[in-house]
Amino acid sequence: MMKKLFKNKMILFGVSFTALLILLTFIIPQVVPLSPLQQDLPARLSSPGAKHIMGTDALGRDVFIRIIYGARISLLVGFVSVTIALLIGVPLGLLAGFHGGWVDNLIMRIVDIMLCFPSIFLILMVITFLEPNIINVMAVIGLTSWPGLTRYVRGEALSVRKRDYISAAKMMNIGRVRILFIHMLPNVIAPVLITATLGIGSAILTESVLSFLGLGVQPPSPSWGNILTSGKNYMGSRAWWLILFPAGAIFLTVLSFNLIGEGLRDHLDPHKKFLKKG
Amino acid sequence: MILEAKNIYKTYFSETFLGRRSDRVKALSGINFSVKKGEILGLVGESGSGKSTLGRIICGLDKPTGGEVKWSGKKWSPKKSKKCSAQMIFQNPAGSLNPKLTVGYALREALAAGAGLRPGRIKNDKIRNILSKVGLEKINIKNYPYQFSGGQQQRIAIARALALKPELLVCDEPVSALDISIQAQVINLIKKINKEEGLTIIFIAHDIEAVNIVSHNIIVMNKGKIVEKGPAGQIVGNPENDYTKKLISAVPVNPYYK
Repeated sequence: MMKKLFKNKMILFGVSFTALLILLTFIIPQVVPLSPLQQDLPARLSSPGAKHIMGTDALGRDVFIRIIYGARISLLVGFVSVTIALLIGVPLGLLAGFHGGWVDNLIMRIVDIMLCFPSIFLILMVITFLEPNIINVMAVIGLTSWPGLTRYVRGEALSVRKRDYISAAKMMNIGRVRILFIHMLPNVIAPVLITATLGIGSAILTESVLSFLGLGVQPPSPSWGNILTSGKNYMGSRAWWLILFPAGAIFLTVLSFNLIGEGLRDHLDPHKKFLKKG
Repeated sequence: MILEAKNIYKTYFSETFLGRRSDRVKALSGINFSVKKGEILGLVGESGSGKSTLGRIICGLDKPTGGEVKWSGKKWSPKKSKKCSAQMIFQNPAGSLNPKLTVGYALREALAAGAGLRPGRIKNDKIRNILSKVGLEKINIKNYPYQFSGGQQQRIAIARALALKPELLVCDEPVSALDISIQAQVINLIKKINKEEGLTIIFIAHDIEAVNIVSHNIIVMNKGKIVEKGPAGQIVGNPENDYTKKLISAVPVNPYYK
């Protein structure tokens, strides 16, 4: 199973990059004594070199160290907010698909309403009323990203609930929760996995946007959005490293999660497999 | 009488925008019959004659539009009673077993539901015991359904139904998805269960020959109505209704039936 997955180059790249990033966030703070907040004013805006491999910013802080510490925040936001979305979206989708009728109608209309707002504006609206910090950011991203998941899971659940083994389970009278989570969930796990992986990428991106706008993680904490903000005034000048490296980190990380998601889709979607053979 | 069906109607509506009901399809109109304890009742008719719908109503999977099903004289509804007294065997054995659960787990869950226990308290001996009733005592219960043949899957499905200790087993076209040589095995198994366990069975099929071999009594259905009913020998040997005659003349010869 794993071997087969890694034969897919998209998954291989995505997983390798993510694993490398996670590994670096653990190793670098142990090995390099520099703190992401430590200023070194005489060395401000020094270009990438042997001493600072990604250069320093306007306050002389090491960009590489800040990106590595920022990765912790970004990955944390990605995983936690997707977990929140999963915990809300999957049960609702299963329930809507299984129960049908007014329950389905109610849940899907809420989903429709949520999906009509562009999520970034919804998040901006909510976050202006809250204190901008990492907990609120994770909560808001999680609470606004479940509707797509619900719609996807509900569609799969609709097809699964017509199967004879669900009828058999109903005749056994084994409780709705058990039917939903033991009989249906394993049969809709493929779209859940795919959507969740793609969701991590988009959560990381949303967090960067919020931090860039000053509504996410607050400076001087290094988050990728903050690092970009601190380099904003130097765009177009000679200090290219202040933009390129943090933007590159965001780009590669989001790309990795999207590639894993796409790879999983190719691997798990029976229709695609069939098309490839034929 | 273990089961009485009184004046059962089932109409399917296709609902339009705003919930207005338009086209109607009458799947069942005014079905009356009863089943004696320990008998095998054959339900025969072509596709679309309503026999599967009737089976699903008996098992509580569909609600009738009108009429009622009575168990030993009492009205049954899925909301009141905990477990339905009827279990169903489906046409496609692969689809009636959850592909993500091992056979052992599926049977453990059914045994637990039948005994009112939690699945963890069911011992493997009990699973073996129920499998031996369908002649599968030697299989590996940690395997998944796709690792078994169609005939084995159908036997597992029967074992799962038996685990729930039903009063009545509804077999909805249990052999039509199987290879012709396996069909006889499953039919013989159903007969054996009826004889040894004394289980009442409703056997649904479109093949009147198969129904004749299994059943004591036969009901012939066409377009949602009962056209003829009576003992198996009489229906097949001396049919009165034109539709029954047509069904009999359409039977292919299966060399494996004895």
